[in-house]
Amino acid sequence: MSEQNADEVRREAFRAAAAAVDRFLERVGDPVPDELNKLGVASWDRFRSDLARVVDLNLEMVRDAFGLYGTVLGPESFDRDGTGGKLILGPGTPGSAAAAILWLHNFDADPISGVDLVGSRLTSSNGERIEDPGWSFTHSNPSVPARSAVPVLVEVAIPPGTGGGSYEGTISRTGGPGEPIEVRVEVTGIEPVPHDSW
Amino acid sequence: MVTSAPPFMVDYLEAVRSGVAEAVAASLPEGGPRSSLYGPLTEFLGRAGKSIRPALCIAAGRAHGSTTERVLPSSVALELLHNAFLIHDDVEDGSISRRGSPTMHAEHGVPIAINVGDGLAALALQPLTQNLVLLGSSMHNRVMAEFGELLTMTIEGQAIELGWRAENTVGLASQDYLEMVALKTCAYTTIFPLRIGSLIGSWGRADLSEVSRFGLYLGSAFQVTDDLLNLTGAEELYGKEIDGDIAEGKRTLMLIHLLSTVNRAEREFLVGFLDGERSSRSADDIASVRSMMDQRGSIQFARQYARALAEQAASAFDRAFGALPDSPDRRFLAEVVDFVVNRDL
Repeated sequence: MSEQNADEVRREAFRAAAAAVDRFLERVGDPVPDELNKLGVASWDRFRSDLARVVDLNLEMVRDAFGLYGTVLGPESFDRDGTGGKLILGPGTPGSAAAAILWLHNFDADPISGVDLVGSRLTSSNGERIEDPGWSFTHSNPSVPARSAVPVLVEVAIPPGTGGGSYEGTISRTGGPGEPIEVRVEVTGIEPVPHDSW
Repeated sequence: MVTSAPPFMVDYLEAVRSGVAEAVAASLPEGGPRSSLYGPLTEFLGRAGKSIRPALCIAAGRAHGSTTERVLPSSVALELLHNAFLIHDDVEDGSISRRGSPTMHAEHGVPIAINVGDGLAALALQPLTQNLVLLGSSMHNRVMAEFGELLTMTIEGQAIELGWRAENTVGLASQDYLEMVALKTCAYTTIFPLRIGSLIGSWGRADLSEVSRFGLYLGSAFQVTDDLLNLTGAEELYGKEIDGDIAEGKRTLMLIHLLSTVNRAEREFLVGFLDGERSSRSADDIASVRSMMDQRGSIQFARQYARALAEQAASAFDRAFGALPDSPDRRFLAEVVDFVVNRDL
């Protein structure tokens, strides 16, 4: 490291820094991004043209990021849940509430507002109904910033005396750009309150 | 913030500093011991820092399209951890001043200083719990893993440097220095703030290797510049005692360069100077070491080295963030390279 000119110092810095980077990356062990990942957010428009890939991406994204259920808002909005997934609320007991978080995603460059969420009645497989489940949304008219997502806490009140079983219904999204969509909902494992044994 | 930095950078950092300070203030408990904990803690947080760590996290997140809300808790945690590290570092280094005022231990004693540092580290955990609701469980876990790695690396890097001093290690090369700095400084100052922001902003799809590369070059340039400011800066801006690193025997790039260029007699003097406690080093000896660094070109070497690192950082920026749409946040990330090597504080 004795008397060095600027070029020599520069080369030494390049070499030492490159070695430090290698050591660091070896330690953190980040997975090598696949081609899709390398595209980055700036390429959203490109893979939005490929709906199938978008569907795959969204499925993976929602599961990766939240371990929950989400839906997409935007000009190309769709019920990407056509494969059978549901927003699962519960389990719950009659007289209590069941809840889950619904994520609303906006992959568009513009914010979305004017969204309206409405829940339907719930019906069990043997025909029992909860006519008024008392739907509650932390944001019933959420706005979703550009390229962002907002969580909405969804709750249903299970009326006293409700029979056991699983109940299904829908949450409809209207307002905002794109077609209205529905999210299927299942309230699972409703167990009647046991009678006191004494 | 009194500085010659470009107005855009000053404004951006000030906006971040203000937003983070507001979030921190909201998270401080109202009760609890004041004179021995929350009083000194609040005073320390109120000292003007650069807010570079939360700024990098927020900029990386928003450049990828995130809202501020989603990256703010992690950014607040980074700033609180930074302040915790500073207080403990100052104890370990025996430093006298920090951000233009006495260090925590100089003002309140070592026991209180250590406890206030612990308190800041504990407070840093609180905003991270918000990520569960903001980001969902899977992303929350990924962010927590990043924080875990950040903490481990920072502590290991500090241990390496303290070990060099304790064992009076003198046979170091610039690569040893950079590998230590990658852990001690870059991990929590640049690499993980950028990684966490990118992770959240891109929903985990950013190429974190490229982000890390940019962060390591940037953070290394930052640390070399910091070491230079310790020797050549204006104390009222820099906020720490000038030549303090020499007094502490820190293995800076300039000292490593100096040790490799001196003759045998000078080397014996340096080894003897470094072998001991800070209190054993006289002002005259400190001035002699500083003078030798000028004579042997160690200052010039470090300046050229920092510029080379900044050159690499600028190149790495293009790979890490170059494809993102133009935004003030992307601009901040691009301009922060010049900022760190040309700053005066």
